[in-house]
Parts: sequence; C-alpha cells; structure tokens
Amino acid sequence: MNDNHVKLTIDGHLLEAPKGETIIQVADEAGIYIPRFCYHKHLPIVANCRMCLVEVEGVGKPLPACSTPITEGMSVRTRSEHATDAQRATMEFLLINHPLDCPVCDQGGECELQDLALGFGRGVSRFTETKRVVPDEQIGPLVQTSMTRCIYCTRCIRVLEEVGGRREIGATGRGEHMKIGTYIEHSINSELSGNIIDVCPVGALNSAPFKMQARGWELLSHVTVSPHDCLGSNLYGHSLRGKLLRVVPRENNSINDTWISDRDRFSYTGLTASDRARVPLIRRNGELIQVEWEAALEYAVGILKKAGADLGTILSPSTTLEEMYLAQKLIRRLGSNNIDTRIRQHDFRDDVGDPRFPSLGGSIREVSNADAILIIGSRLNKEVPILGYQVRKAARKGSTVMVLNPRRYDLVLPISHEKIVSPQQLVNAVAALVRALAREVNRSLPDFMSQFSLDKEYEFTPIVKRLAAADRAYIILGHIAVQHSSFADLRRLGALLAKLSDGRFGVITEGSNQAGAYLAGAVPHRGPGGVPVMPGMTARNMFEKHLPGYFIWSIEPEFDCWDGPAARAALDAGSVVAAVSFITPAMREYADCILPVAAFGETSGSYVNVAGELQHFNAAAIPMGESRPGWKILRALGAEAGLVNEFSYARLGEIHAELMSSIGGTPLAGGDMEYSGNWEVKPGIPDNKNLHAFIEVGPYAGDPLVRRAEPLQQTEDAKHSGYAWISPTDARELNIFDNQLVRISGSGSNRADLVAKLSKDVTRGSVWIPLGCGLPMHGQVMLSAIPVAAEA
Amino acid sequence: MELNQVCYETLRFDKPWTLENYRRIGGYQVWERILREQPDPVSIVEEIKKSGLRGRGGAGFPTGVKWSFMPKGDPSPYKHLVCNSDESEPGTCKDRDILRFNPHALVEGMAIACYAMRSELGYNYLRGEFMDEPYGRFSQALKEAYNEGLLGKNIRKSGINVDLHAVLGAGAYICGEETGLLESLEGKKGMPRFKPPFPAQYGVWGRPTTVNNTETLASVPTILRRGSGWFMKIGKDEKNGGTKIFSVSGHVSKPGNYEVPLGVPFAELFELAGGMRLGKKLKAVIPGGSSVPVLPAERIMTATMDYDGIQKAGSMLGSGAVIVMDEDTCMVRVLERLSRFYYAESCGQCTPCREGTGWMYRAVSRIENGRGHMEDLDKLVDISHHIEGHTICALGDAASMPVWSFIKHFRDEFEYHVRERRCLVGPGAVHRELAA
Ligand code: SF4
Ligand code: FES
Repeated sequence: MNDNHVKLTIDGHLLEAPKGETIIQVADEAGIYIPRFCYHKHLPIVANCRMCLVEVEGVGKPLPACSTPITEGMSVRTRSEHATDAQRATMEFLLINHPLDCPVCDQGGECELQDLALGFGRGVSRFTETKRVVPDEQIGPLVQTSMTRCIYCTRCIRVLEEVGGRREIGATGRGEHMKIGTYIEHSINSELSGNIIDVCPVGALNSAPFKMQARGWELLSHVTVSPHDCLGSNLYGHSLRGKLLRVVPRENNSINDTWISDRDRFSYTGLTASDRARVPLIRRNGELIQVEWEAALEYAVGILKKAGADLGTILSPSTTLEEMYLAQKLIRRLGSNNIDTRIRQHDFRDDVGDPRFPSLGGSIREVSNADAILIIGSRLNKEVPILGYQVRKAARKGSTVMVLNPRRYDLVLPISHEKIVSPQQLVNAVAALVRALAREVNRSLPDFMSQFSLDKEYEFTPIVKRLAAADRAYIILGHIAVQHSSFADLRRLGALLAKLSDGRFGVITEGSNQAGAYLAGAVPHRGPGGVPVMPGMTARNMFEKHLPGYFIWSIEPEFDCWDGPAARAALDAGSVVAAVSFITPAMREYADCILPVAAFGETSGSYVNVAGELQHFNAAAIPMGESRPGWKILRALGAEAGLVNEFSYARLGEIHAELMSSIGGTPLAGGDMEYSGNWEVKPGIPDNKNLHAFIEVGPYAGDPLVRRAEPLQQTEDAKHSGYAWISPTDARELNIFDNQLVRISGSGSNRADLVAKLSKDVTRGSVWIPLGCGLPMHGQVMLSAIPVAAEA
Repeated sequence: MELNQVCYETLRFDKPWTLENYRRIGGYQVWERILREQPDPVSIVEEIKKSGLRGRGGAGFPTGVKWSFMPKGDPSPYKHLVCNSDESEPGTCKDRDILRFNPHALVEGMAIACYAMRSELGYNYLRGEFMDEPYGRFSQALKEAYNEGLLGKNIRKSGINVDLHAVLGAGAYICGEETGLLESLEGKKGMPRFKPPFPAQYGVWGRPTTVNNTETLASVPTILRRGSGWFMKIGKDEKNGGTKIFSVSGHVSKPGNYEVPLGVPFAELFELAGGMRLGKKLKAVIPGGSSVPVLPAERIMTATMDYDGIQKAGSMLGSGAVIVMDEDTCMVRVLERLSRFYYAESCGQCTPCREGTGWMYRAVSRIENGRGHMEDLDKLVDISHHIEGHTICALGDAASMPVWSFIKHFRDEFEYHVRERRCLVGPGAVHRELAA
C-alpha cells in the first residue's frame, strides 16, 4: 500500500484513498451517494448545510462527510439508522421555511432540494409556525432571484469569490435573519456571474432569460462548444421543439471545469433577434429580393466566379473547421488565394514566421500551474473569462501574476506587479523589458533588438526578477496586443521574454477557431493541414485593395474588421456575397446576395481551441427560417460551381475526415512558438501631443451573436463600453468635461460622436472608443467638444 | 473556606487594578524571572499541566495540553495567543471583574502563555459591551506594562519579544465561540469554522493559534508563583484543581462573583450568596451558564461544584454562571426567554441551528402564551435532539440543552400550561387565562 493512502470502509465496501481526502470525495469516487447541498467539488468546503451527516464508528455524533478527513481504518455508514435519522432531520429543518412553491418555480424538476426531499423528507410537515419570507434581490439582467427559496448553502457566495475572483455577494444578518445579497443593492458584475445559477441547489437563483420558458424534463440536451472565445468552453445546449432555450456548462477539467462565462451562457438569446437572416436574397434592379435557394446559389456562384483570382474571402474566426475547409477549397478551386479569418489583426509582417497554428503554447492546465504569469496587452477576464479564471487559480496556488497593459483594467486578479504604458509605447516598453531581462539572466540579445529606441527608461525590476526566478513562467499576449499595429514585434518580443525566462509563450487568439483556420487552410499563407502555400492577400490587404468581388462569412465588417470604414468602402465598390445569420442595415446597401446561415447552436462541426484541442459539437436547434448549416451551403455552392465530384459529401463527417487526413490525425499538439522570420521592426509611436484613438472591444461586442443578446447588452459591462474614455489631463487641456458629447475625427471623413468619460485608467494621448463607431481600431485623431445647442 | 486566592487576589486593596497593588501580591515576579532565566518553554507547559488547570470558559479542556498542541520551533510573531474575553454566556460576569479589578494578572498571564507557546503576538478579544470600563482598565494595564518595559520587542534586552493588543468585538454571542471569535478578529462576520483544522494548526489569519479564556490566563501567574502543587491542592483532585469563579445570580440575597476552591458543595456556595431571597424556596439552578441543562433543587443541593460533581448531577460546570430560581419561577417563561436568546444569536450558517432555534422558540412561546398543544412537548424534545450534535459549533447544543432539560424536569408545568393556558406558579398563575 502506498504510504500516502489510507484504507477505510464505507457501507461495508473496503476502499483505499489518498490521505487528506474527505469521506464524500472517497464515496463519490466509489459511486456511493451521500446527500449534500453546500458541498461542491470545485469550491472550498464549508460544511454548513449538514445534509451529508454520516455515522462514523466510534464517534458519538454524526459527522459531515464533506469535511471529515478520512483516517486509517475508519468505518463509515451512510445509510445506517443513525445516519439517516440525522439526514432526515436536516431535510426537515431545510423544508420548514422553504416555500415549497415548486409548481411555479423554474427549478422544479432539477432542484436538489426537491430530489432529496423525495428521499429524505416527511410526507407531512410538523411545522405549524409561520414560514419566513425574504425580499428578493435585484442583481442585474441575467439572474432572477427568489430569495425566500434560499437554503443558505453559500455556494453562490463561494462561486463568485473563488471563480469570479471577487466577493460580490455575502451573507448578512444572523440566524434566521441571515440574507444572501449584495448588502447595498447593485448588480453582480462578474463575467462569470451566471454560474451561481448552476450551483444554487434550489430556485433562489435562476436564469432570467430562461424564466418560465420550459421545464427541465421537456428539454433535449445537446453537446456544444463555445463560439465566443478561443478556449472553447464545453457547453450543453438545451432545446425544446428545435428551439435553443438554454445553455449550461458541460464539465471539462482541462478547459472550463464546471464553469462558463455569461457570454457563453446567454448569447443564445441573440438567436431570435429581429434582424435574423431568414431567406436568401439577391439584388435585382438595385433591390434585394427574396428568391429560392437555387436562384440565390446560382447568383452567388456567378459573383464568385466573376471575381475569380481577385475574389476576397473573409470568414469569421468562429466559423467551424469544416466550413473553413470547404470555403478555402471552393475559392482556391476558383483560382483565388485570398482568404483570411484574422479580421481584427492589422500587422501581418510576421506571417512568414508563423508556427503551424497560433496557440497558447501549452495546455490550459499549464497556465494554471505556472508560477509566474505575465499578461501583455489584455483585458484577460473579459476577453476570455475562463482563462481569467484559470490564471486566478494559478494565483491562488501561489503564482505571481504580472501585467503590462496600455490601459489600466480591473482584471479581478491579485496582481503583484502592474505596469501601464501608453498604447503608442507598448512595443518599446516590451522591448525594454526584454533588454532588462536579458541583462538579469546574462544572455545576449538577437540583432533586431537594436532597432528599438532606447530613449525612454522603464522600471521593470520586480517583473524582471520574478521572471528570472520563475520555474514555470508564462507570457501571454491578449487581444489588445493582437489588434495592435505592431503585433508582429510584440509577438516576437513576447516569445523572446519566454525564452529568456525558460518559460512558455502564448497568444490569445480571436474567435473560437483561429487555430482551426490555420489547419483548415483558411488563412492566405496556409493550405489544408497548415502547410505553407503561396500567400494570398490578408484580410487587411483585401479591404485596402478594393477587389471586384467579396465573399464574407458571418461577419459584420463595420464591427468586426480592424478598419471598419475601409472595409465598408471596399464592399461598397465590389460585388458582395454575404453568408450571414443576421442582416445589418449596411449589409442591405452593399451586399448583392445574402445567404442565410445557421447560427451558433444550429449547426454541427468542430473547433480547434487555442490549446490545440479538437472539439466536436452537435446542432442543438433547427436553423431559423430558411437558413441552412454553413457546410451545406458551401457544398451546394461547390456543386453549383461545377465541382460536383469534389463537393459530393453526404455527411459532415466526410468533410472532417478529408481535412483530418491532411492535418495528420488527432490529437493536435499545442502550437510551436518559435519564430524564424526576419522583418523590419516597427518601433512605437513617440508620446507627443498627438491624440490616438483605440477601439476597445467590449466583452459583449465581439461578434454578431453577442451583440444581439439583449440581456447581455443590459449589463454594466456592455454599458461601460459605449463611451469615449479619455485621461483627465488630456480632457482638461482639450476643455472636455465628463459626460460631454465630443466629436472624434480621424483620417478622411471618419468620425464618431460619443459621450466622453474621464478616467485615470487611460494614459495620456489616447482615447478609447467602442466598436462600430466609424473609426479604425487605431489611428491618430482630433477631439473636440460638440457645443450644446443654446437653449431657446 | 478561603475566598479570592487567585484571580481576585487584588480585591483586598482599594483600587485593586493598579500596577502597584498587583506588585504587592507578587505580580510580574514570574514574568520577570522568565525574562531573566529564560527557562525551557516546555517546562512551563508541564507545570501548567501538573496544576490541573482546565479551560474556564466552559469546555474545561486541560490548559497545558492545549498549549502543547502549538507547533514547536523558534519564537515567532506568526503564532498567536488569543484571549477570549468575549464573556457572553448569559449569567456570566466573572471575566468582566478580572478585567476591571485585576487586569495585570491577565497581562502577565498572556505574556507567560506567549512565551510558553513561543508566540510573539497576542490579542485580547473583548466583547463590545466591555467598551467602557473593562476595556479601559485592560488597555491602561497594557500601557503600564509597556511603560515598565514588560512587553514589546527585545524586552529588557532578553531577546524575547511579546506584543499584546486589545480588540473590541461588536456584541455577538457567537464571537465567544473560539473560531467565531477568530473570524471576528479577522474583521469578518462571526461564524464558527468547521474543525479540523483546529486553531492550533489554522487559527487567526491561518496561523497557529491558541485561544484561552480570561480566567484561565489570569490564573497562570499565581499558579507559577505559588507552584502547581499548591494550586492543584486547593481544588478537589488533579482533574478538578484550583479555584473557580462562580457568578451567582437570580433569586439569592447576595448575587455576585465568588472565587472558591473547585469542589465546594453547592450548599456552601449558596450560603455564601446569602441563600434565597425573601425566604422563598429554591426551585432550580442552572449551574454553568444558560447553555447547560437545568437541575431541580434536590439534585443541585447535594452536588459539589466541580467538573465531575456537576456532571454527576446531570449538568455541566460550563462557565460557572450559577442561575438560581425560586419557587415562583414559571419554567415555561424562563425557557421562552432562553430560547429567544439562542434564536436571536444563532449565526445562521448551519441548517439545524438556524432553522431549529426559531422553531423551538416559536413553539415554546406558543405554549407560554396559551396556544400550545400537548404534542408540542415531544416535538420540542425531538427537535432539540436533532440540533444537538449536528452543528458546526456548540451553539446548537447550547440551544438544545435547556429545551429538553426543562421539559424533562418540569414537564408538569409545561403540560399545565398547555391544558390550563396559564402558569402553574408565580404571578402568571393567578392571572386570567392567557390568550385563547
Ligand atoms: S441563493 Fe442558492 S446558492 Fe446562494 S446560498 Fe441560497 S440556496 Fe445557496
Ligand atoms: S454537504 Fe456536508 S455539510 Fe453540506
């Protein structure tokens, strides 16, 4: 027997388990069920519900199985008279003040209290006093409360603290007057708040959008994967009669444990938006008219063929692997190499140095096991909420978390060292950090480093010391870095930092399948299997060039592309086939053919996440209206284009198999982050009097579906993103006040009118503006107050 | 029988709380000797073990043994001594008088305990209601001790560090429970922690901590000055050594704190407190604070006041709060009051106590107010048995024991209440029938 193991018996079963485990853990492992409410395997143990009381031989009173550590020779009885008597008593206590309003409670049928009451409750209550009533809490648009039903298990408190990183709710009051709430009424703003719905064993916390929609037992559960970020959190889509009504987490301990972000949980509410594309449309005599699918496909193929080698194809980075593969196959067969998914990237200088696919450079577990983590250019918790949670987990295990950002964000992480530099200077700052680290570890620097200016001094000592000392350092570049106009340099410097600290380096890619895009050949310099090919145009080039024809897939360029105005101008000039799930007003102006595509949850497929994990998912709902799954549309387009044999797939699986044969089977390893290319360095922009505007991609603004998810748009986070954020010093110089309407003018006729907000979190010389406001993601601007019309 | 030999020794002086008077009884001699000679801390722990000193807060755990649970190793400011001066058990007021009249004994006791457990930092947690006099006296004593160079860093160049702080609570009963106290000390809502881990491994701020009662710590200097044997012999035997302060309250002529040798017959203590008031007859006594089972007169009169003696009689010595009730006391009314206390003070975290205390109070209250049913009596006993032993801390037990013990010993009164809708005894007996 292992020294670290003890032997015990539970209900007569002889078991062996590691020291330090508690009875319930061992019992769960052995498949012996012990009733519980407060215990949750991913949360700290509190032992307050007393439902799990069991009999332990030689101990006079029943002990809580969730928190009693096992000991050698222990003999536990979970179903003895003594144990069940205690369990029944707890059940009785829990029920006396519970409203028992199951018929009108959304939790009915999936309520832990209801389930256990069936096994442990009395038929008739002995309680003849008046029941307690607790006023409800208003905690925002996502979670509906019925606090009278609360059984005070405190799981919700612990989830927000442990997973969300902040104690946003707590228990106030003593005894019976204890109340779960926010104390001072406000919304719960964690991007992971919806998890309190899952952990709440009763109907006290329920999903607000799901309110009164269906009963749990009516729903069909389907395996799905998050389409909103590069982690690919595992989900179940619950549907009723072909309609997706709810999304809940699916446990995956290498990605999301049992948690998901609010974005993943509530984005499905956008599926029924009024601007859903429901029928195929083509332009005739300047008007978009509804046609049959056949006519639309024929029309679309006409446009694609006409553009031929000059066709530009831009796909959403959340397109499925199979769709990406078919799209590139189609357009390459039509003679074009111009295909890209990197729609919010601007700097492609290092394409030559790209690894097989962009990735985190390791598994997600490696991030949570790192002992020093440096985050560069990222609003981590809002970009990829679950990765934020994984870093939080690392911090809880003692990891040092450090940040180098172009603007101060509250990442809800215990940050040890934080350095804020202006976005214009971000590259120079990272270069300075590289230099300092090289000095610290006594290593020489590659030649290109001499191209970075040295005129600004940065104090990086604590970060440098920590990186040098770390055993498992991790450098992570976030979305802000990816969108930066010097991304190539940032990436090269980041990789160098990792090398100097003998750690790992990763990039948080956009969308849910950017890694897949490389493997499917949906980027201009890669063919299927990720093999290098003669590069076509990048997304940026395609829009800058004004091509004769465009094929856009599930994007809204004015929101989703790095330079929205430029994209719009290009689309206005060329013929456009748009395969989308939603139709923007702008699209009605530039698109010549609109093909309605099935949205998230309505199609099957697979994604490769940022850790190189291939994940499949199934359709949970029926595509709305006449929209069709993307792969079927592409198959039909292929056939229509005369490639009948090459596009004669009967099933999705055949497409997948064809692609996998070029990738070389599963599993996929994490991408390799070594760079070999050589390109001219683009040093930062000097901090001078010029003002630069940068777009902040809000947590609920990133893709067409979340932008339409009403409950998410009502959150504080969504509201926060709608302003022009400027530093108080700049504002003073420009004579701008908080909440004043300002005009931000960029090059040409680009401009945006926004409400200004002053914030010390923003560095001087920069203004942060929302997506889709009519400016590119970065550019020099002028800012002026819009005079308020004089009152009459 | 000699009174006030240990914690209340200074009471014989006018202004008993001054440093000068404390010195007159030999105060700080032990501490100064420790500073000079720096004995092996283990020898101090052994001495305390031999004295038979047990926790005076209520649980009665042998103090020396508790001290020996602390991790050994170098003296550290990251191991803590915490003195529990939250004295909130109804009927108990002994620690208040130690703080008021002999605060230096506690300061010295805490310093010695710190040394014995190799801790360099101690806290005295006082209940919020002590804000005025007891807190003031104790703080003053601390200040004097610092001024005299008896506390601080590198005290008298001995290399020994001991810092002590006084902290005020905010008035919750549950903060007298040692882990609830630790939570409160950390600035959180007072909610007891599940054990294990025990405070000796994971205490305040997650560091090894020992929590001792005020009377326990204040006894330490005298024990070490006069010897463990002396102390032990004052009491009854090695398990019940030394003195104990009893706070006698209720229907006696001379209520008050009496520091007497452990093992005195109850009758003698009763005598000291002047016997019954107004010549009434003794009906019942709660011998150890409101949380322990009540004993009817005939049982208590033959008992001796020590841990074993009271246990034999069917109750517990607890905190030493002796609540005396005369023949006119309506036991239903008393139980209603006690139940209300636990209902109001339950911290609310564990189910049986949170839900059960309110249930019990409401049921007892119904009986008291003439709306009870016969089946309520058995139901109450059943509820109390299902709270007791099922909760994280002892508050659940404390709330239960009065309920079943009152009904057990005075069932006739409860039945009378249900049947006649009025009290069997006292003023309530002659009143008109209670609400229908
Ligand atoms: S609201 Fe739900 S999760 Fe939170 S304490 Fe109450 S029952 Fe538990
Ligand atoms: S599950 Fe063990 S006490 Fe709640």
